[in-house]
Amino acid sequence: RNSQLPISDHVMPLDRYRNTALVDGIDVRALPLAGDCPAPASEGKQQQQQQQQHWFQRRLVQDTVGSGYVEFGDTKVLCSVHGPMEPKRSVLTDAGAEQSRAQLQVYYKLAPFASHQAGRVSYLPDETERRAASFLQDTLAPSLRLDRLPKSRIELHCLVLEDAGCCLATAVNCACLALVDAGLEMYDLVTAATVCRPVGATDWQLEVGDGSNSGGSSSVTLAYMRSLRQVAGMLVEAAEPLQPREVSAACRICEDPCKMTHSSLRQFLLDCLPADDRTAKIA
Amino acid sequence: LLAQLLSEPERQYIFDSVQDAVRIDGRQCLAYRQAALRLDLLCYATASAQVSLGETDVLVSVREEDNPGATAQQQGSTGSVAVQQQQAVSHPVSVWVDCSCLGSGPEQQQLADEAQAHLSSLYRCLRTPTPVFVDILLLGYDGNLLDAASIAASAALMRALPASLLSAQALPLFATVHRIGSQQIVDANQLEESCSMARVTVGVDSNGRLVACQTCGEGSLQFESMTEIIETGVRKAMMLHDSVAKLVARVL
Repeated sequence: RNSQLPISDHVMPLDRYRNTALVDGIDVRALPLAGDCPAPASEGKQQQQQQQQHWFQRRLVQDTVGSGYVEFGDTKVLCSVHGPMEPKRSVLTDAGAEQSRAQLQVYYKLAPFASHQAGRVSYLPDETERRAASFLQDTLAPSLRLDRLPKSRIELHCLVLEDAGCCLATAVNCACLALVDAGLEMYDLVTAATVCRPVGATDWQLEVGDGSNSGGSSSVTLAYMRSLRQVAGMLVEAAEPLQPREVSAACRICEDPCKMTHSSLRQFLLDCLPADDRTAKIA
Repeated sequence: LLAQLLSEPERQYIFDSVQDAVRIDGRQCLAYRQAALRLDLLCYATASAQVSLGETDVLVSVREEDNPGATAQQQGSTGSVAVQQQQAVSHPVSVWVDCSCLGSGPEQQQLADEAQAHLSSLYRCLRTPTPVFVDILLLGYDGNLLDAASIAASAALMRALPASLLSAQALPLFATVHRIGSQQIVDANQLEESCSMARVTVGVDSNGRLVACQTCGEGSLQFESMTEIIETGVRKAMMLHDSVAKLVARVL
């Protein structure tokens, strides 16, 4: 079926901070999270709840196969997917190595204005960005059915528009949304969360996109596939030496936020389906 | 990087034999290859080390750059306040990995980039008063670059940095544990690395605490498996710490 909806006939967005132009976009804050999260009790808690909820949007970028945009608090990430296209030739492919799976290539970049702490970021990807790109690649590859697209290449471009904390986890969520929007087959949605702990503290806290986490705290990022109950990726950045059981405990704490994000992402994608498609599937 | 030309029957052979706890070179699953360590090879470096783990050969040079010109200027202008500022400045360790001996393709560059990111995170907690540059040159590759490079870099840094900075502790080492089917193996060679779907690299200091931990590879793990693999990694890293301490004591 034709999955490319025309996006030329939309009204101008009035809200400066949210792109409300696309009819597919749904404000997730208006929906109850699927069964996992109780209603907030008071105003302060409501605001905290809002900080911890994701805003999803898709089809923002015109000339791509699929794209996704996620806001988590103040952190904003935009992902676009290109492909499947001709594979990159190298000495190995010329030598006749089997190309039975698609190559997944991830490019990750912070926009020059994106960082709250570091000032202006350079145009060339630095070490942190290259590491984030390879983490994204290792995290999304287990879930993608790359064997369905032999002899091809899929490119995923990830641009962080604002980094206010929890940037890598939000990028994983956004990349997953973009890949689903591109119509690529996946075993499961990959969602991620980060917990952090300042040096000397004992409790791990969920990192949200409100800029409160400056450097100098240890963080554990976990990417989880809820239906398969498997960990797709885990990254520990330690500001002080950690006991192995503390790291395992932090991973367990990350599990619940990952599941919640999985529910809300899945709900968003289901609601994006046009109504007639949904009835066609049931019939 | 020859291993990517493995055919499917060869891959299956390696996979099946590891399931039976037999590796293709006859080692146990959790055994390291013979390691050799040489120190103080390079005369212009502050310290240097070369480690060979099987065919994997890594040469590390550590240089401390001090700026005597800048220090003199600062002291001349404002006296004691400038000296305090000079002492307060601390530098992270700068790591550079060069895989050009293997070729100049994108796969080699990716190997170098990943190794650089891992090793920088290993020494993240280490701060030095003067800039320290760790240059890692890969002379031969047969798997397990990270473990070999961390042994060499830590040995060289322990020689280069003053004892007061190290506070009588050994610097952290990496242990990479691969998961092939239901077995865990350490110190995988190139062929085994191409058969493994998931691996966990843990950076452990001499007290058994983690300073870095990352899963890599295009496979996923259950929570319990991941915890087991981390525990195996910590155990093997402690064993590595003992062996490296003995090797360094024998060389000196």
